[in-house]
Amino acid sequence: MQDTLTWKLDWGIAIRYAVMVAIPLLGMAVTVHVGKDLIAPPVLEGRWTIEREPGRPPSVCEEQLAWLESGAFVLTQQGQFLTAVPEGRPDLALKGKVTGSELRFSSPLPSSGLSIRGSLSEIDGVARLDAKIEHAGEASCTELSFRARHNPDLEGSDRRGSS
Amino acid sequence: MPDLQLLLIQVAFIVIVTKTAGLLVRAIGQPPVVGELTAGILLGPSVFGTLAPQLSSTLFPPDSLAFLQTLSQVGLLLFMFMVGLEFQPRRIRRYGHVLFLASHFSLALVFFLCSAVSLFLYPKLSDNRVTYVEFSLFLGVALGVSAFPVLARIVRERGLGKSELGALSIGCAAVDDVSAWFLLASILSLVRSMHSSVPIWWTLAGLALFVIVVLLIIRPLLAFILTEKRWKGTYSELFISLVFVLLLCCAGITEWLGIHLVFGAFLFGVAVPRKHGISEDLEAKLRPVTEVLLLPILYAVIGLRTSFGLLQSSEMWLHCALLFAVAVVGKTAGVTIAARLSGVPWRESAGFGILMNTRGLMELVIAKIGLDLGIINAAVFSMLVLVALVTTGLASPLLMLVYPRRQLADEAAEEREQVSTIAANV
Repeated sequence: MQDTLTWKLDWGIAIRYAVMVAIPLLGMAVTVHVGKDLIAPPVLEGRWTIEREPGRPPSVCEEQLAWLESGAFVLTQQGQFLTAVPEGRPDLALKGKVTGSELRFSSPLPSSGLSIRGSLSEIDGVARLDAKIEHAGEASCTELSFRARHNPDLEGSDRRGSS
Repeated sequence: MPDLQLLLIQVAFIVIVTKTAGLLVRAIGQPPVVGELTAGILLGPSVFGTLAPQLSSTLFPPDSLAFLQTLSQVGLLLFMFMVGLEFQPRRIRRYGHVLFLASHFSLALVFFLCSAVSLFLYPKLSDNRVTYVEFSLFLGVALGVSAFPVLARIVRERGLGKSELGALSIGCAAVDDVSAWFLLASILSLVRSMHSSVPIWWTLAGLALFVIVVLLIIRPLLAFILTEKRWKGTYSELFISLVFVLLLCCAGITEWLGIHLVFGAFLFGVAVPRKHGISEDLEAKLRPVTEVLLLPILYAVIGLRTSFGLLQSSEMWLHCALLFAVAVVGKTAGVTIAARLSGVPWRESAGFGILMNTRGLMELVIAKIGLDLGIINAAVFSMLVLVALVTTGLASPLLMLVYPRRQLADEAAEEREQVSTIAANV
């Protein structure tokens, strides 16, 4: 083993080094080329103000109403994974995911059937959410529609500049 | 103004908890860094914040964390300087071709695997502030690095210091270190150029100029000063002051260039001449303060920003497992294959691969830079912390499997026999 390990710059070693390092790097270059146009979810984290649709009759469902009457919710984001917490009601936090422009949330508590599904759009550079909140566990609870507007000023600080 | 009393209590609490954990894991044959880092995580929201939220928020109120963060940056600067000081070019001379091949092949393999899994992970774990290229390159450098200081400690504690396996691992980790920090500097230049008006060539030119000045001007200058015999005694204080001023300047310049202060500190550590035991002297002066006082603060800061609660679903844990698999396969298999193809026997090659899979604090330093710069989010950061912790913890037991103590004893006996035969012949 000693002989084979002695430092000796010869063509065999140089070629082996070049080939072995080049193959994965070439693979990486191809993969990067394939993936360079991949799109990650939009930035949704921050405060969202809720705009209830006018003329809606009040629901008898306490959790749905509490969510809408909170007036705003705070979204935290880890990639496509989201957590929405209505202001003042952390007990009603919902976990969800964004897929394309579709958002889906559900309660992490098995006892609660609260869920939200909605779609994202952008008006004048501001993200908007058209959503429906429902309570699967209560047959008498109707689906309620609401809109929410992303407040860019209160969006999570630009992470890139925070170092 | 910081609440000085609170800061003192925080630091004392952190040092007690991390050092106790370090001692405990040492008793079960693990490197202390595993315990210290685990203690840092225990202090964070995942454990302490969940079990005693009131006490946690009293001891670590959010507005006090900025001071701990600043102290941890000082610790990081000194730690990276010491890592640079430990770099010994003579370590890589003997097995040069094996070391460069093993280090660079495994790094390239990790980068390839990271770019492949990022095709799947990027749309799930990132957002549109970061591009796919930034995300995958960053994961590559974070998972490709090996922890030189931890590895050196494992090699020493397992009695491998004089073995070929020990020499290979320490040499390869040194090559890995230099390669990884240069790669990180280049990737940070790329990231910075993508999001600012400063073009990448400007940052890279600045980086090249900085490296040239440090290695071709500052290093010979320090060596020249050291030829003066009078540097010992009164002059040693002056010399050490000069070294510290230069260290701060180098870290400041790389921070200004947008490459991060760790690179400047590391490179300056490499540039300090190895004459008259000056590097050992500096290390001896810095080690107690850095390792006992400042690094535990860094572990705590990392722990306070690590939240396993963010890995909220089985899907997230699967992503974490995928990153772990990439890290282990890329590094262990990469190093083992490269070493075997260079003529190293299977057992040593496997041991070499296992040791190089130790990431320790190095991965955490890189992950923290990524989190600070917004290249990764808190969930990916927590995953990387977990990968660093588990790969570091696995090194000793896995090494024991492929390289049991009996094997070491046999090799030592064989060596003694050879020496006595040579002595008898002489």
